Amino acid sequence: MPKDTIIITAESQDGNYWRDLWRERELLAFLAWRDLLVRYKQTFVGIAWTVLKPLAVILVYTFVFGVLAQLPSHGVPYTLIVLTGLLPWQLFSTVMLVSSDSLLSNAHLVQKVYFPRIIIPVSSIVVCIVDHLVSFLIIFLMLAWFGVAPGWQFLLLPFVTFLAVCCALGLGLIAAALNVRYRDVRQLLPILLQIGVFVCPVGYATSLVSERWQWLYALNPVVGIIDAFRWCVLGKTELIFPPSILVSIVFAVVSLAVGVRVFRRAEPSFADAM
Amino acid sequence: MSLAIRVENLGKLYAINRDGAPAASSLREQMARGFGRLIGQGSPAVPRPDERAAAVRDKEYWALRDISFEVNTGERVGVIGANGAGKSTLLKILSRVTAPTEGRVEIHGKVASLLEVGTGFHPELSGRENIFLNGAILGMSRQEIRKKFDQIVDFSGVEKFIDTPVKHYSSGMYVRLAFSVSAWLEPDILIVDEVLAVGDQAFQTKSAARMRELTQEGRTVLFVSHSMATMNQMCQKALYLENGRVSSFGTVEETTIEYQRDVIEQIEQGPWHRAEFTPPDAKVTLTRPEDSAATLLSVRICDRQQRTTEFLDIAESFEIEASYSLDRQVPDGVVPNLHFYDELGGRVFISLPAERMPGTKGVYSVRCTIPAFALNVGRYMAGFALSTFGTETQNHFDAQFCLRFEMKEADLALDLRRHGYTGALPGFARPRFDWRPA
Repeated sequence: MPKDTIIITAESQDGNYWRDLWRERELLAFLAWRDLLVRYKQTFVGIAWTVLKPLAVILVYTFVFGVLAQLPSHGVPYTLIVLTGLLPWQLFSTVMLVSSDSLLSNAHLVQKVYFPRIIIPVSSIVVCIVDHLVSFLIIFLMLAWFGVAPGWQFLLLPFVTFLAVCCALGLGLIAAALNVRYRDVRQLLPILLQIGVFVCPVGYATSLVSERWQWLYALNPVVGIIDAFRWCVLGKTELIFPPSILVSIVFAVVSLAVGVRVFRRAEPSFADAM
Repeated sequence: MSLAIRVENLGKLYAINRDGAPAASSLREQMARGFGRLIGQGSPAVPRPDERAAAVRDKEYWALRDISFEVNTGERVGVIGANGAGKSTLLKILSRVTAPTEGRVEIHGKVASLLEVGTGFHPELSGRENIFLNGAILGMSRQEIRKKFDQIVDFSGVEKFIDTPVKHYSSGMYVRLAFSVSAWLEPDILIVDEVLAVGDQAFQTKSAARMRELTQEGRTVLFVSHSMATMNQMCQKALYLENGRVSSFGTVEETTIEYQRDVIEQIEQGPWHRAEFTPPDAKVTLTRPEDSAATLLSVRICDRQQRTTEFLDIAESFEIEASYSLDRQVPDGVVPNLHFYDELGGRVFISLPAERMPGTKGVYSVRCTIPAFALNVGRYMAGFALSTFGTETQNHFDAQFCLRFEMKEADLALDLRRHGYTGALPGFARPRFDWRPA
């Protein structure tokens, strides 16, 4: 039987990180499964919450942005504008929040057992993705309610989900690594995300921003995510700024690459810093 | 024999911040430092860089330094040392939970480390779910867990509650289940940090047996324990760490004895023996509750000739004499009790008189005769306490370890039962039981 050899030094203690990661893929699945079980066991109404919470927010935003502020919607029911902004935003923000907090909430594991730590943030976001998929129920309900038939673009939604997850996970990995050392991140992030709701086109369409500023506006990667999502569901190009999607794709690749790098560099000190 | 673990010049430096813990610093603190650096030395609130560096240096310490040793495949090595000697840090580095600061470790084989039982147990999940989760965390594959599932459940004895969330478990059931998952790991190298003492007596016996079974299947084991008895039972070799350095590394017998010597020396600065104790004495802890009815006057140990001495012959009886005063009436009377310990404080036996002593005010003396061969050769400690066993037990005073004496065997030839054998006859007692040809 060929035996594994591990060499531990100050510089590297992981033998072969990516090989270990592959070996521990079951652990990744188990941790994700745990989070899912716990999430749906603890709450009485379970899955219903996943639908009810965004529904409530959608109603409030529709009232504020659509009814009170009377923002333009190019003939689309305003509820659908909010819906197609809120769902991708929720995915993005929860992935980022959950992954950035995942190391601290699993501190007992980090301090007692070795495995590639990146498993923790990656497994933690599975819950967010499942929640997102469940909230698709709302989309079907609302489209039926308003009698809107989605076009062929609707089939591209999985890619948008993937794009949003990549962007958020990259940032989440950086935040997670920082969070171990600087607990302030835990306080700061929710505030930033709160502001993000208004900076990003969650409650309004990107087309609201004047054309002169749209390029600048599109540098925010969430704009591309929301635009892509809106287009997939509503199929209206006049609501969005298409080049923003390109920005998001580039951002996803860069943020993931940087995120993994930062995370890997900080990784050896996690157990000591907790 | 092939090599399983090689450790070379291993060192681990911890930096401790102001709170005394290597906790995370806050962003504000870092920004304050960065800002201080920007505005230079002008601000008195921010120490200059060189001062700051010196302050940081003061707060650093080597938890481990210059550690080198080798473990061959199949060897069972115990790691011993006082609290803070670096045992846990060493295990953490070997299990890759934390990185070393310097040096190198080479490990050949699949490692499983048990730094605690039940890592990752979630209170909301059922016993069944937690077995799978904990197993996966400890490095078992799903198939492996499925295969061993019945054994694990059977071993834990919680079959009935296996689908109940573990938050409803008693703490005993919880640790039993947690230990059981660990007990079925099958790595090449097992790293264990004192996780055996869980559950009730019966379960402890069972788990110790399982642990022995595990360690005897040709597995390499690295094991931390504070129990020298367990150590001697389970390990062949021992690594003795002292202040982060290797003090000795050899057979378990030699190393544990050396460790025990050092422990005694630390407890006792000055001569070890004490034949007489008269309070107050800074070296003896005398516990006496506020509502105590009695005061200890003196305790002494003497040989058959009534000479106070700390050296006794095992072939002769000896006496312990104590006097105390009762300061007020105790209706239930009082019971003096003598506690005998080995030199590490492990209890050897307790002796109580048949009759209780009167509870009227006054000064009393009691004597206890310890027969010959009741104690074997070695160092012992004795404590004297006075209690009242009524509806509630009350200790009027307790002078733990107040006497320290040594039993010797003056003349080996005197003991006819040796039949000329001159080697050691270990154990705490050498009772002379009846033997006859049957």
